[in-house]
Amino acid sequence: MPPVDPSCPDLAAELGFARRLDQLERQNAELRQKLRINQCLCTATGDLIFVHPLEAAGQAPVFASVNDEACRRLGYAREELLRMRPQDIIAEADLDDVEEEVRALQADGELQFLKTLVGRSGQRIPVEIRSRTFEDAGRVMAVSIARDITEREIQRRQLAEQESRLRLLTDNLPAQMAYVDRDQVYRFVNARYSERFGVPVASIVGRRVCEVLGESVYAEFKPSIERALAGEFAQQRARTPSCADGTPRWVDARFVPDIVAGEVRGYYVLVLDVHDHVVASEALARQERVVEDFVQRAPVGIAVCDAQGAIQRANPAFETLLGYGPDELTGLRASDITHPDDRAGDLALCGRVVSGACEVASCRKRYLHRDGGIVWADLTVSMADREAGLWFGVVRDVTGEVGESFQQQRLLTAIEQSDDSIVITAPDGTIEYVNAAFTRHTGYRADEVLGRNPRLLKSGAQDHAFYAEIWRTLLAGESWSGQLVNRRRDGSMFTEAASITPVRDAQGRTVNYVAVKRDITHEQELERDIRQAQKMEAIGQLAAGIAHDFNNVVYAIMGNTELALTRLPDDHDAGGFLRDSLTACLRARDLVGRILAFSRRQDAGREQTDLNQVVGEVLDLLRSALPSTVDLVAEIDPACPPILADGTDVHQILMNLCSNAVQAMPGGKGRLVVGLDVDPASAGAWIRLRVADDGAGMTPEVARRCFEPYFTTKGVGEGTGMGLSIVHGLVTGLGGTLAVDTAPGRGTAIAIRLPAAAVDHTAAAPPAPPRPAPGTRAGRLMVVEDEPSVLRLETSALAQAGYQVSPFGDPAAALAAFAADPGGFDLVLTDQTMPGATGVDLARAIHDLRADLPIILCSGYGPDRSTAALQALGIRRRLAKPVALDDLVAAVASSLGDRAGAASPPDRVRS
Amino acid sequence: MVTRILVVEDDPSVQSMLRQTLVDAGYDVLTANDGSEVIALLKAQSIDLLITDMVMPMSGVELLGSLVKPGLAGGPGFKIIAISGGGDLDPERYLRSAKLLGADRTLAKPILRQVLLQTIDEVLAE
Repeated sequence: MPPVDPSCPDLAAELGFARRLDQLERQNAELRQKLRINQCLCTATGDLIFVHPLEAAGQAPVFASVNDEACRRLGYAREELLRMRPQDIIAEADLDDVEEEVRALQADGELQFLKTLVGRSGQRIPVEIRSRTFEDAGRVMAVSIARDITEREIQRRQLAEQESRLRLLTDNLPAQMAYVDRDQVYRFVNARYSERFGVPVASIVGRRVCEVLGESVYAEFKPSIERALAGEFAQQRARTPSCADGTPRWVDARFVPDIVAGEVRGYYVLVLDVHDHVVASEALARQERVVEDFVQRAPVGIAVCDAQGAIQRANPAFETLLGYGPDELTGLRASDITHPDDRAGDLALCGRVVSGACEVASCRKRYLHRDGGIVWADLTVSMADREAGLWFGVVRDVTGEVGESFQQQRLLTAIEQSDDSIVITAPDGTIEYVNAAFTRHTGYRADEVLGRNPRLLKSGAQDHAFYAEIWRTLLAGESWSGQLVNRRRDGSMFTEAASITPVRDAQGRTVNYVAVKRDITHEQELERDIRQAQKMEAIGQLAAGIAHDFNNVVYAIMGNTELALTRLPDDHDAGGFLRDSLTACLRARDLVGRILAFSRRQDAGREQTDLNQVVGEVLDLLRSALPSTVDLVAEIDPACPPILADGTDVHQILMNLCSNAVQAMPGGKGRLVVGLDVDPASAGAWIRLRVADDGAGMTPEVARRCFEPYFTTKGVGEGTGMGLSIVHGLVTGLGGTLAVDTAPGRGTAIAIRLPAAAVDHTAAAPPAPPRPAPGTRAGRLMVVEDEPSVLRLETSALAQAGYQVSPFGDPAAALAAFAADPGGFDLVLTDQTMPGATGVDLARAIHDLRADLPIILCSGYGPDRSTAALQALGIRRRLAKPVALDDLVAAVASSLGDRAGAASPPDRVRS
Repeated sequence: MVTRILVVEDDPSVQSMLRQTLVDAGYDVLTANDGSEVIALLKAQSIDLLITDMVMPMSGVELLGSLVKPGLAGGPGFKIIAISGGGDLDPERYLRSAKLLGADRTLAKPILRQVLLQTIDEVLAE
């Protein structure tokens, strides 16, 4: 404030000057005091104080007075500042308003406004200025007090920045935010919140919630709002209309109470639009339901397994396929339900998928049904969740297909492997298929005949008319059957029984011919052999039939001849004739004996056979049959143990070998050696039978093939080529071996080794004779036979052998006795044909009572039962009548021996 | 006392020849044509040796079966030689059966006189 000029005293009146002076003095003192106070105030304040005349800006009066603070802050000396005008310290940007402000100040007398001052060094000082006018000596003056608002300005700017940041933040949040005070008036909303209503932020702030939301939406959120206002957190999902088109959208709204010092001042609202999420979730859930439905109803098996192969879940189709109930497969391992042979493959397949080697893998495999059966299925494995190591398998039941293809495969295999040759031709006869048997029978490989005509097999044995007849039959659509002699690839002939059939399509046209042909060369030869054998058998039977009478005739002649001789003097002429007659009788006897021996047909099967006896018989036969040019040498070890064989087999082996040997002798002259001994290297386990000749011998090629069926070096009609092959079959059938030692010109030796019959080593005695002496047997026998003479005979023979025999003439009585004491018998011997009941009936009844009891059935003819069926009834042996008594005793002995060796205890009786 | 032999043989020419052979050898010879005659004859006569054919209307097997009762102490009281020329089975089988039924010796027909007489001597000496 400018000091009041004190130098203007009113000197007009002297009167009272002193008083006046005094008054002035007082006033002056008061003024000075005021001035001091003012000066003090001006100096002490932190504000900048300027006094200047208030005039139009253009007149630009300089400052009348400034305080120290103004000088200091602006950086001017007082003298400098008092020469300056207000405009000189106002920032240029603020100058525009000055005129207006001056007018406002003039009008109102006071004014508050903001300005930025600029100091000497250019420093800018934001100030808030309060100006007031006063009059001083007729001039309108203004005192302006400028307060530095730099701090306030900084704070304000910071606040503005913060708010701006906050808004930026909230406006960019995906959530809608608002703050509502306890009067339910919006105090803050972010941009998104306002967007929801399609209005600017400002139009919401200050309005009531119910007004902004609308009645219905407010009603929906009211419970949550009330809870928030009660100080609780609240959350709510609701569908609210969207601003865009009014369609409802799902939102999640959170209500967070704003509590200060225990008092709820309002709440924050946080609204998240979850519409897309909710819709997507619902869609996903629907999709999952569809997938689940699909899995549940799928007609294929589906299972989810973990990396270890444990089934986590399986669908009903899979459970049903393998016979399991709901959830029963869960926890089982894939290997538990896989066929053992397919487990490794299954594991490898899953391994490839689980390891990521491939995305999807399939295989055909066998599952195990719960009942143990096999289920064929196609399995497709793919990854369900690689991170979790879960994979799923889709399983399709192909048991039917496999069965079908199996059937087809079996059919193909049957045709391919059939022992009959099968040829399929086109209608014109071109060969389209031949099976393996065709190649075996003809020697032609399939590739050599496909596309060719079957006439390549023609042998010339059939004439043109024969083939014309075949074609006439076939072209008439009928099958032709008959025999054909054809030629093999190697030129040899063979006979086929052929059946040729036209194969028709659905329209009845002949599309193929199929020929099924059996090589009957073998059969024909066998038939010849059989006819030969039958002839021999007939001769044998004839011989046996006449033997009795013949021998009696011979005996009568022989005996009477001898009687006559006894009555003749030694030197009588007739003696020589009678002796010749006697010799002829002996030859007749031997002849019948040999025929009987040769035709002897003992179908007793394998039994302990004394090789010495058989070899002796063969040698006898050979001696009388061989020409004297053959030197027959027997090298027989008489101590040779028996072998287990059918004597006739050994007979045949030797006869075949010897006849071969003799035939190999050039001109039928030579040496034939038959040897029999124990192989010294085998400790008695092997018997050696040897047939050697000094004939032509064989080349290595022939020796290699000499045991092959039909292989012969003889001319047509001289041999069947079966001799050595039969020998081979018989020897191997007896468990023996053959070896050939031969060379051209050096003869042939065939060495056979046969296993000796097992000897009971438990007995200290030397090998028991084949038929133990009579009277040494023990056992209780029931003999049932309706013919008294036979019963008597059997009873006495068996009793003679040492058995305790209970004879019965009637099966009913026998059964009654047996039922009374089932343990009282060791063996039952029964006739088959009896009045009342057959032997089989009796055996069945006895078997029911005691299953372990051996039963022997005697019958004149074979009962209509297989051996297995008889054995099921306990019938160990069947003897054909008439039975030689020694055979009977032997059969009883061996059956009792069977039983002794059997596992079942003898006292096991069925009630 | 002269040794008495009963010959059972249904073939008359063989029977007469055998009878003559044995008579020549100094035996007292009885003959029978069939097994059933033997049973009757044995009730009246005692014999030292029975020579029987095996194939007859009552077969030798049956005859021996009835003569040689099992367990009969001392046996039939005479020796037995069975002879056979065969039948439905070859002679060996008949003779084996005869052996089983207690025949002391068996011989297949035709038989040399010397063999027969020697066998008889042996059997009787036992």
